[in-house]
Amino acid sequence: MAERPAKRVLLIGWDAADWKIINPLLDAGEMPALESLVNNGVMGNLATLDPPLSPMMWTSIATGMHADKHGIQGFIEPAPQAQGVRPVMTTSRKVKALWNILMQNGLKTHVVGWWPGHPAEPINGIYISNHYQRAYAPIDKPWHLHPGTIHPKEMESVFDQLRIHPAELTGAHIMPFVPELKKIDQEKEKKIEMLGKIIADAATIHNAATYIMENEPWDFMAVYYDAIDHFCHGFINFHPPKMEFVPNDQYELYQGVVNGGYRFHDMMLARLIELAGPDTTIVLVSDHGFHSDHLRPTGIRKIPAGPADQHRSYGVICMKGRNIQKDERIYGATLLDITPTILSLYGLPTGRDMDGHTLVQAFKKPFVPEMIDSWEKVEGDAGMHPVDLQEDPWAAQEAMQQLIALGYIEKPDKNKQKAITKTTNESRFYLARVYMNKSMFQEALPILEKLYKKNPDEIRFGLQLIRCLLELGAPEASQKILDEIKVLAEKNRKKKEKQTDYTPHLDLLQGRIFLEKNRPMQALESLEKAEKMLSSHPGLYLQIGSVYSKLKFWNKAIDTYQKVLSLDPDNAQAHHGLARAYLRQRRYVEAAEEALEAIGLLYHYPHAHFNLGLALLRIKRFERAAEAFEVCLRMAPDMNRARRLLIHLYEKQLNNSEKAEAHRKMLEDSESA
Amino acid sequence: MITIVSGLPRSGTSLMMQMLEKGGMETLKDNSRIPDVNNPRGYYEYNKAKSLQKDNTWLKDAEGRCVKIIAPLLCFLPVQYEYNILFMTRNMDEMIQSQTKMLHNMHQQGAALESSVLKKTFQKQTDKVLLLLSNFKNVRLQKFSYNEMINNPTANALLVNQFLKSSLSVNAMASAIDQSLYHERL
Amino acid sequence: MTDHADQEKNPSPDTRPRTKHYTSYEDFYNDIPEEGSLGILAMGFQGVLAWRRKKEELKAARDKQNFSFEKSEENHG
Repeated sequence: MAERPAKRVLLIGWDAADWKIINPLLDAGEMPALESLVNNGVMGNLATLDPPLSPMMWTSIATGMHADKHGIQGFIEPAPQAQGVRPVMTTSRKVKALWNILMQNGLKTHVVGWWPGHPAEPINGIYISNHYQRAYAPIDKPWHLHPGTIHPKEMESVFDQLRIHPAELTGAHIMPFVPELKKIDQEKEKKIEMLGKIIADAATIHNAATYIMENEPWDFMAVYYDAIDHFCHGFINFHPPKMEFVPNDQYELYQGVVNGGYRFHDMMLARLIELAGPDTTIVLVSDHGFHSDHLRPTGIRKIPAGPADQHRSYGVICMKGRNIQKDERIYGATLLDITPTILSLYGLPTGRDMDGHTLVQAFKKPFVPEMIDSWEKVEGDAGMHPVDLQEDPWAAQEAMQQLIALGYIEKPDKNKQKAITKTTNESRFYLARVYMNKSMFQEALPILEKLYKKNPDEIRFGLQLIRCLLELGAPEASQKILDEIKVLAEKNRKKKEKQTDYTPHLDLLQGRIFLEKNRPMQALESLEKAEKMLSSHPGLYLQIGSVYSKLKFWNKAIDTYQKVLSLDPDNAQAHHGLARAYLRQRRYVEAAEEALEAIGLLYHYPHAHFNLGLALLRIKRFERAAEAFEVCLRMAPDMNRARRLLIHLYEKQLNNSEKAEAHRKMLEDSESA
Repeated sequence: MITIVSGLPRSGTSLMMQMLEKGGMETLKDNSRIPDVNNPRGYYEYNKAKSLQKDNTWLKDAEGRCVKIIAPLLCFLPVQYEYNILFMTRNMDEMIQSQTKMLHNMHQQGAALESSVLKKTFQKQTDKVLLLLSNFKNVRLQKFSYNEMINNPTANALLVNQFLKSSLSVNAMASAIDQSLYHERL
Repeated sequence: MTDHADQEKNPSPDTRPRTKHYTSYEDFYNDIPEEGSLGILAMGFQGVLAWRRKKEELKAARDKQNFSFEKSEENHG
């Protein structure tokens, strides 16, 4: 790509923004700024990753890599010298972020509030850490900026004055969210204080961003607002439609907060668009969505990062710029694609070591993105922390543990040690989930085995270990662990110690184990038991559906997948499950329709493209079928079944011996490998 | 002036303490850890020095004496004293091998890290501490190589004297070095 | 320069955001209410600094008025 598609890029992060909440507001004309982006650019779902924890996600957005590569593994990490734990820091990121790469290419970059963003990185522009906005002292007490909050340091005095303290806000700021503010006794009801903090934090970040945009030259600017996530965690249960357990008076008072939060962001967006000017390409993304309907969980599990249960698996993406398509939907984007896409916007190659891909479909002119092996190997000042400041906190903690074991440093006190152990366990658990998300089950297995061995009473670890073992085809080992967990779960249930009732999860896994052991009737029995206990859990229904499919109980599978879709119409896996079931029932048109729905929701889904191809082949739409198989093979080159069908199509139906021969050669290569 | 002997475990810190003591310097130590197979001549440790991060009030007792403090804890030294730091270095592979052996003897579990990662991490932590200390006006620091000391006891004893600007007995210091205790030679 | 301040003057959940365009900074400044508004926050640092200045001005004017009132009370008391 010779020319640079974007003169400059503004990347806006709205944590937890979700189309399900935005769409009604757009329809009502209440988010005009976003509407202008949508109408003049592209929009779509942005699939999140597992586990959907914001610091991990925002680092994936900024690096194009999964957490196993970028190194941010949760919310907290061990502090140096066994001094307990601390929030995750930029010094722990192992790879370059987008702004580091852009700086190496001579572009002036600024970053505001990214998470993790402390200490500020020494880039060639301004970097404002994510500790900047938090008011930790009352308004009449000194509220100094912590060291490392602003880079360059000489700008501290400017940004110091741009902070808004929650106590500075008035009723005029709160009433758009809570019109009946005067009815509330704020001494007793702390929700208003919380709301004030969220608004002040967001406004502070916005002040810093607008200051930079108006006063500094820039080629790239990234600004991250965490407020939507906070509005939602605090107030989503009051969002319409009313949830049964929410008292009427509370519902009446707070039902407008979440929508108010989105309207406020739209107002801030309007200003950013105005300051960015027409020559700037704007990319607006969120890291995950937020359940706002009947899928809202009625309680939060008492486990670390429990509130993440409220997150939905699709965030938002919206892009507008001179070389971006207009008024189009894009499909199948994941948050790993943001960094490669922005690099392509600057005409720069993406890294082969990145897990995401350029969203070529969003660009007006088709092109093949250039690639290099890795940006990590490119030398030169990238504005990263000096090497002596960068540190892998987990390795440092282990090394410290060795010094403690050798008796050269006193053991930290019990509470600190407990916090370190808990944090380490969680981060290992998240890393195992990252590996499983990437289908790297062999890498996940030893981590989960060790976690379960050391923490046999943590049912979550055991369940994940069973899922991993099942993926690796080890039903006997799975059964052994499941039996142990059943005993523990029963004990807990009797003691009523743990709130989470794992029974349906255990039944479901039992079903999967029976199936793996080729005992279908027992599998079915366990699944039906699980189903009886579940009223609105699409994830579990999905697994039941897949077991019915394996049993070839197509009608039951269809019923189950439809149940999933009645709960969550945007579930790509359920649409794909239906496509498979319809195919087996020779309902080919319906199968093609469902496969298309799945692809529309999640484009990078090779099996859905394969089944689409199969359905199209059956209804004799040969050219379209060949296209679907081609896409499938681009995503999964080892799917030889698709390649054989494609060869057959090119030879027998499409009369294209050249392509048939090319695929035959690839098939032979693949089989000999 | 407080004299500090520092470094990572198994870098020769106890050896340096012995040298200084034999040379005539008063050491701050207690008998919290008795000599064993890992350090047959004793550890020369002061238990309170292992929790410097929590309590530094005892440092007043170290005035005019020498005390052993493990490298990562040096960043917790308070600014009101002046320090001469003899910082021990040793071939990192040898040192890790020796630590592993010691952990085995103590029936303790060490870091769950590959030795290459552990080596890199220790190196980084040491560099970080040294960089930090280089900014402190109240700190003088000199590195001493364990491997060098074993090979050239007298020359190194002289260097110690030179650094401390003192007149400790060079012969007595050199005599503290017993080559037979050097097990993990690579 | 734009402002959404109108929206907050009548804050009901159904009120749709409207954009008001100012031709000069002076017009905008004159329009800033002392209690502020979300629209002013959304304008970013310029809006916030202007609002803070306005608050100080109004407070100074009030203090001055109170001072003259107290003076006249003293004179007449």
